[in-house]
Amino acid sequence: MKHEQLVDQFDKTFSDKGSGEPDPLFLSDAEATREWSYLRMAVEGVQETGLYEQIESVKTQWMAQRTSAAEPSGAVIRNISRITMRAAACVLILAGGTAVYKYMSTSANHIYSEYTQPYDLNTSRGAAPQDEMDEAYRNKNWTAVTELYNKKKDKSNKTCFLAGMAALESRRYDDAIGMFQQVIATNTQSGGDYFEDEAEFYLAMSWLARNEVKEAMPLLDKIRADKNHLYHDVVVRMSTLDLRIAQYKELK
Amino acid sequence: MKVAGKFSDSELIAAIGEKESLNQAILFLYQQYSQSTCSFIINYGGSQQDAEDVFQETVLAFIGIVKKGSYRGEASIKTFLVSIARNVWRNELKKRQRSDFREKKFESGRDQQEDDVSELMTHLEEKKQLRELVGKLGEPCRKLLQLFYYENLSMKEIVGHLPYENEQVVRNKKYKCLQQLIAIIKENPSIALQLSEIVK
Repeated sequence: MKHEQLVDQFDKTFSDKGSGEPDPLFLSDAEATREWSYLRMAVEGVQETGLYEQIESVKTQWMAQRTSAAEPSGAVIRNISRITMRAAACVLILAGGTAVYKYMSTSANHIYSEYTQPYDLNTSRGAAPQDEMDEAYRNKNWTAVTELYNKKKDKSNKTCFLAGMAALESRRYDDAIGMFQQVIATNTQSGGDYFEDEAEFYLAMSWLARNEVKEAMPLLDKIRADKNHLYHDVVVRMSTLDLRIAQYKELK
Repeated sequence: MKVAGKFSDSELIAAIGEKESLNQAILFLYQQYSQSTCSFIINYGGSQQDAEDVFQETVLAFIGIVKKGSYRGEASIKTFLVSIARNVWRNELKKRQRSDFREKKFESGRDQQEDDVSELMTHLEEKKQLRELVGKLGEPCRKLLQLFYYENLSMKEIVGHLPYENEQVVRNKKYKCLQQLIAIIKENPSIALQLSEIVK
């Protein structure tokens, strides 16, 4: 039996039973049995690593959460010298100034500018056959991308997403939001997830660009909670404090 | 990260069995039991880092035991975790070849519960070595194999997660990655021999 067939049989057994129990057929073939055993070792290793990394990820977040929630110690300082008092006053003024500056300088738009990265068609989706729309996108000809999209009879999630990116780059945020929402709606209907991660991230960014943090937050929370999301790392880097400030300013 | 809900022991066992609630269960284990277990390890000569590493291995072993259906609930989860942690720490001390006062003191405190747990925690070290072998794979291969064999995603779903053009490309790549991992395992015959016990 060819090795590819053995792997296919293994995968089939794996997905059927979830355990990778050997088919009795293989027990009579020593070589196949040995290879089956190696396949199980490999998969055992992958699963063990996956679980270890999942625990590591939760642990990291838990430790960060614990550190930020840690309260200062309740020790009573009885003799504070004048110099210490002055230093403390300086720190307070600096901290206050920093807080005011932080409040003044933080906005949804600012977060958008800091974390939105151009979508690179070359590196993000393999070597797809090139077409006019791809070419126009690579040349950053946003008008052409939009025109080509409008002319296309056969619209896919990819073309819709690129049209959304063209709108975002041209600061037509409402159009961008419409396009990204369309990608997500198509996936919801079909049960697929083609360009889903990309659409979710850039939809959130489009809402931020429009200063609508309330709309962006559920998407950002979803991406942050999903460690397999393509943009998980970017969203994790976003300061929650900045987002909260921006949201507070929006509600004011 | 959301705050983990309160789980009873039986609810926690059920949550570990579900993919959707596993993160919450892990978080709950950390919130409820990491401090007491870590203090225990530190008390027996471990550093803070040792204690954190031991607790992580403890959680890993515990989830493995629960998923295999070997946790019978005869001892509370807290007691069970401490027994696992003791076993993990004992193995670590043996590896470091320390037979000083602390270890002797540690050995003298061994009880039946620990022996029972020890039987469930077979091949702990081999599994750790297996993880190290998986770590030798490149990131794209590791990610792809994890999505398929750990996250149980279909080829179609993986196309949406990774930069591959279609399902056939993913299938071919997955086959090559699996071959690569098997070759790495075969390069370590002593580990492979020990591991063959795990998958029997």
